Amino acid sequence: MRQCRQVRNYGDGRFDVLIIDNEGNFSAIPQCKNTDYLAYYDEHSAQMYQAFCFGPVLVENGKSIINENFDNGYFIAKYKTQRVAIAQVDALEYMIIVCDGDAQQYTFGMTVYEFAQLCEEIGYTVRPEGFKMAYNLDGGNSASLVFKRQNDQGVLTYQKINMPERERTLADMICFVSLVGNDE
Amino acid sequence: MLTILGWNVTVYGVIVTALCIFFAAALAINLIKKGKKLFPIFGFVCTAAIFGLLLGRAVFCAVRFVSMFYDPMGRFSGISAFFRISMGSLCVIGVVVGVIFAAFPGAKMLKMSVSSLLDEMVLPGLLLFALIRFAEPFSGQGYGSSVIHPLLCRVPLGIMNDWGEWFFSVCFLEGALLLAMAIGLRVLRCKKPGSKALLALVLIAGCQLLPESLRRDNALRIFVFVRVNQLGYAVMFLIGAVMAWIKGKKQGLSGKKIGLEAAGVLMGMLLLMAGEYALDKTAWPDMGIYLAMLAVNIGILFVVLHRIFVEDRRMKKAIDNQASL
Repeated sequence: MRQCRQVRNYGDGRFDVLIIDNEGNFSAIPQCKNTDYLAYYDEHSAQMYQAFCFGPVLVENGKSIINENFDNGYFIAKYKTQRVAIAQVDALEYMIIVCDGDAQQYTFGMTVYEFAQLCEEIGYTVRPEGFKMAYNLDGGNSASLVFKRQNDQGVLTYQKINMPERERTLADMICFVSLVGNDE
Repeated sequence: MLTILGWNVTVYGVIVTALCIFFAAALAINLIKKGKKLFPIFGFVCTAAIFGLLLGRAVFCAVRFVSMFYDPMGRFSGISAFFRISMGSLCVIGVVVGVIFAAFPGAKMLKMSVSSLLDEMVLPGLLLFALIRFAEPFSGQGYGSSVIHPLLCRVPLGIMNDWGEWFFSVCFLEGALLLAMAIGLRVLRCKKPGSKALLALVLIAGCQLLPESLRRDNALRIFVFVRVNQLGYAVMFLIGAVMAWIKGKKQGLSGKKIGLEAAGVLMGMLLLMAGEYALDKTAWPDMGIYLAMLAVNIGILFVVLHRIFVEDRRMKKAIDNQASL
């Protein structure tokens, strides 16, 4: 779901679905099937704002919920690679956590378990109770943290921060946009 | 968007339709000059249009199956979306293959051989394809990576978006290659019917394979990263190569030679696939990877084109020898 518009429901039970409601709060449907989503939608559609399908949920109520042997056979979970997560710190307060990596040989970066541990640690540094929730997004070469900044020619442009030498064409993104103008 | 006779149509759709009608007419005039009747020509053109549209649409719907036939809540919504032109698009590989298939019933209608008909379709087909590629920016597609060099930041080498950012015009490169093929094949004299069409098939597939890799637009993909058109061109190239070897075998070409060439082409294909993998998964410089892929692409193209040429000349020689006896 994007900005209240239902786009697609193809849940096959492999992925956790992150729901962001119209107050900006996170909740999740673990290993969401098509029918799970339909049931959730029937009950909560008026409050739903965004729904993302990837996961897994890494941290819930401050604690990592990923065990050391986690491997759902899909996210190269036991390999070290780039990872990215979005976390809710508090009401309308969020954090994006990215770890760098080398997708070439899967020898540099973090496993899902390690990344969940990292998210838990970071959560405690920003809030005594830790993150309300941290949710894993697409990693490997898809993990892209992009900022708008000036390039060498002084032109405002979008620059990838993590592993800038390798950029993949992506179909979706989470974008933080300010309503405050540049001059304000 | 435009409104024509109450229908909302895209500018790109109008351009492509107009080009198709124009080149169908050009093909028809050529066939009339060769003594063919108007009614069967019209029948063939309609058949080609139907086959091309159906197969182009079928491939697109197969790739985008879920978004075409399932509603946003994940429920199957029937197959009516297949016939709704406003939903989705066509896959160019499907269209090309459909039009080629149409040559079989078309040849019967026109009382000519399939090979001769395919040869007649080559030049108008290539020109049509080239112009469709040149028009692609009207669809919002056809672009590659962003560019900042002043030479590339201008039409036709670059495409500018709504925010003044420039991108490499991959569709222009593809169209220019198709145009060059059309000029080359116009001049070329093939001895045997079907050779020109086979050359065109291999050239289109071989020369479009690498430029497709440069696209950063909404090109159809499967398994997240694999471009459907690239896959299609690779299959078309292999089919062309196999047809050339079959012709060679009929002319007495040794199995050992075929085996060597086949091994070379397959190895080349694997290297190209490895190149695509390297582009996505490694931090090796893109320019180096693309140069290596270009060298391999030229290599396998040379092997197969050479085989087609040689077999075309050998066939003609064999026919001439038989005639003189």
